Amino acid sequence: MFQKKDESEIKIEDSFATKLSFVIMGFANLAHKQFAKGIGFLAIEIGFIVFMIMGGATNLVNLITLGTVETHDEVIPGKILPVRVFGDNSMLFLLYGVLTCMVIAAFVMVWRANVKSARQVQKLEMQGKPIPSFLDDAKLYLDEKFHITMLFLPITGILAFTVLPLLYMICIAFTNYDREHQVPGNLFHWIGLGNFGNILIGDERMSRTFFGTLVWTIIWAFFATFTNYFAGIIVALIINQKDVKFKKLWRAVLVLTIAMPQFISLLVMRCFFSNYGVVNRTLINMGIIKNIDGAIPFFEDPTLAKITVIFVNMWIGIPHTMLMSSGILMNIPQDLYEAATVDGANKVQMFFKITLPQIIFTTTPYLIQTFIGNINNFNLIYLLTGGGPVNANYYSAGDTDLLVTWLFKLTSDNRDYSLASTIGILIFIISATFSLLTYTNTKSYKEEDAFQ
Amino acid sequence: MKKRILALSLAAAMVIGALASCTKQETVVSSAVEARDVSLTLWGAEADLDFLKEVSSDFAKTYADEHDDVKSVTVDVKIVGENDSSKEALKDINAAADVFGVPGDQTAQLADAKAIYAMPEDVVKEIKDLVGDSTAAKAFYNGNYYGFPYSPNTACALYYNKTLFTEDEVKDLNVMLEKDLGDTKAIGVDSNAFLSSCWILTAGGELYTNSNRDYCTFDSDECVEMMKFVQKNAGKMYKGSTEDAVGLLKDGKLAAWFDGSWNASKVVGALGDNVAVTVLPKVKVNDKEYQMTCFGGVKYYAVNAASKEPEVAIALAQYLSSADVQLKKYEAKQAMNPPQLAIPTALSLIENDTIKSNPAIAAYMKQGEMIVVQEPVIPQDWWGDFGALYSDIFDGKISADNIKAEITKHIESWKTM
Repeated sequence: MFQKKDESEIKIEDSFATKLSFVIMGFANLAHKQFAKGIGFLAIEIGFIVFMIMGGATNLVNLITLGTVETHDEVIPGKILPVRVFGDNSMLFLLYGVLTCMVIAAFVMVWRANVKSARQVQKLEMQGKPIPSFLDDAKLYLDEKFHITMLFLPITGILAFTVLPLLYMICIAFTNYDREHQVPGNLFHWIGLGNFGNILIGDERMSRTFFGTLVWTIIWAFFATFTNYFAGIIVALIINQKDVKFKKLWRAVLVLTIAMPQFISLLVMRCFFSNYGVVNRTLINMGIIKNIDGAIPFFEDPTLAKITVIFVNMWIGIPHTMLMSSGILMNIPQDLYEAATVDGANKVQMFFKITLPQIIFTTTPYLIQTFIGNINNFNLIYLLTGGGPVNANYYSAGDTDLLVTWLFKLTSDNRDYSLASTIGILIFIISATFSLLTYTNTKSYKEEDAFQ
Repeated sequence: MKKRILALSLAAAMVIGALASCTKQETVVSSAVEARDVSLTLWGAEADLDFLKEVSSDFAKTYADEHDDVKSVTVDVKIVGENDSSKEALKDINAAADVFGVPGDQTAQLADAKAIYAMPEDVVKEIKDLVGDSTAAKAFYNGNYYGFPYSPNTACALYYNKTLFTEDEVKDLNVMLEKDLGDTKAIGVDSNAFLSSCWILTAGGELYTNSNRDYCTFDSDECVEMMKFVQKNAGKMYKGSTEDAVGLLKDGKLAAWFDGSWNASKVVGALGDNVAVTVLPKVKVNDKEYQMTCFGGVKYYAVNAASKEPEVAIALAQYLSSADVQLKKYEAKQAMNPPQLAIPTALSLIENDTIKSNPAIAAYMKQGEMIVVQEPVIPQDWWGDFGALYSDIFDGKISADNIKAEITKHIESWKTM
């Protein structure tokens, strides 16, 4: 180990061929008769230069300006309609610009590989070792470096279909792309951190909506996660009691709610609790409520709507935690309890000293994941309340809107793309910080090997 | 020697160049005479697909026959409903159809993005002849007309229970509200801004007229008095969703319900044999009588500004919205199971026997005539905001004295939307 490190630290003066490889890629390889590799590097360099001349350089300039030519009409005599001359398309400019940046980044990586390869052959030559042929290299990728071969396709896919759109979307947060700057008729421009400023401090209504929604999102995530978690554990404990009969039946009954597609349950619940839904109608028929004026506004009163949402979520979520904690409960060795009984511990002590620590230890990562999942729990809110009741003091949001459903409304209804992108980034920052902080502080992370 | 070769080659180059320009000129001339193939795409709703295919192939034949410079026309009909078309078109205007149906409230988006053509003057005249000035104006924005209205986008009517109100009573809202119905609510209006705005519009409230964002008179004294009237009578009225209203109507707990044609089948189904449809009533507030009104708009065919064949596209749009095709569409929709209602816009059809024989259409068309308020081009978030404001006034969360101040506050915020 020590020796190897020493060897690699020996500084070798770059030979002429290596130095030339800095400019003419693959030169060193060609000079050392590694033709396939050398031609490959050279072809990539030529291809890159051609690409930059053919359009890459323009793309970069366009990325900076995001377009300057406006769309206009040209009247042609004899024609009924003027010909519409479409100007620059800021959206495409941004997309191609980002793409070009990725191509440049990829080229820099290839260039570095080229320099590394040049130094490698120089070193091998100096050491008098044989220089590997193309076939030798190819074999290496099927053997020692097989992981690179295997990962090549998925990584390319991720870069093209995930990273590129992601970078593009992130860039939109720093522009003024919204309905006032809708392509193709209009241009949009870079505005730096303007959107962040508007949301956080600048625009009173916007920041009120953002912080109001943020606070509710966190309250919601907290309650949605912990009500389900503890209620699920309690249900599992009850079913797991020795004297409970038909254990499998009870479990199956609860699991039925999972078998039902979530959106159906939610839509049923929505009808159930509506102003003149089953609940209110029953109350009216029983004479508890006089008429429709007295109907309980499950979805219309802001506070009640929030409580209803959390309550309905329990219906959907408890069976999941119940199943999971049942599994853990069944795996706790019975001798622990027997030993505790011998020592004179009662049931409550056993629960807090044996059962709960076991469950918490195993499920903390799950808990964090659920919490984050609930921050972004689009389905439940969107299908149940649609974010309503609408809050007149908010910008396009209702009282039960989470950040993520607000974001959806901004893009799909309002076409406030840049604003939505900004909120997306903020949501990411919040959830990433939260999960990293909590996760690295859990026992499951610190004592990864401790679990028997 | 070398010089001669050079001269020769130069001369040759010139001759070739001249020849080349000659042939070029020739092709330009011949292309004007030579008939070309035109292919267009048309977006329509899924339910109209068969119908659109049929009429657009009729169009293709006649157009090619009538125009010497066009050899053939092919119209490719694709499914993109009217409500999605503007969103889809703005995603990539070059991939969008040459002609597509859009609801009138999308005009501003499309026109601002320069995605659709404004109609030239002589075409506008033909549109006005077909549907009348007021309907044509519902596809008007910023000084231009943008298309061919073929159907009202939003036709609203008052549905009521015949056993609870007589035909005369539903003509006057004050009478309706004063009638003793016990627990039953006299009239219901959805809190959705599209419908609940009817009160303020009735009192003469104006919004974004001529697309002037700063223009709104919703806080005028008359409008405020009207909202006070609504708040005072809230106990006799119902504000909720159609879903809830359907239940109430069925149980006889709601006597009348104001809603759009898109919910017609639900509402009619709930009332069953007791159903009757009419126009909105008159209302008297502070001794001033108003005829109630509401927003109204049209669906129209717009022509894509990126179209390669805008002239043929205009002809197609015009054909699709012609009186004959509207009648054909009405008949085709009636023949469907269950029958659907395609309300026409062509003035010439009002007196048509087939149309007249359908009583349901009468109420819609009558209400349509009464609509003085053109569905304006409003930013999307206005709807939610106004709905919330209306709910707060209705529920008494905003006291009568504060109504004016609150509306003024909201008008200020609408200016920046």
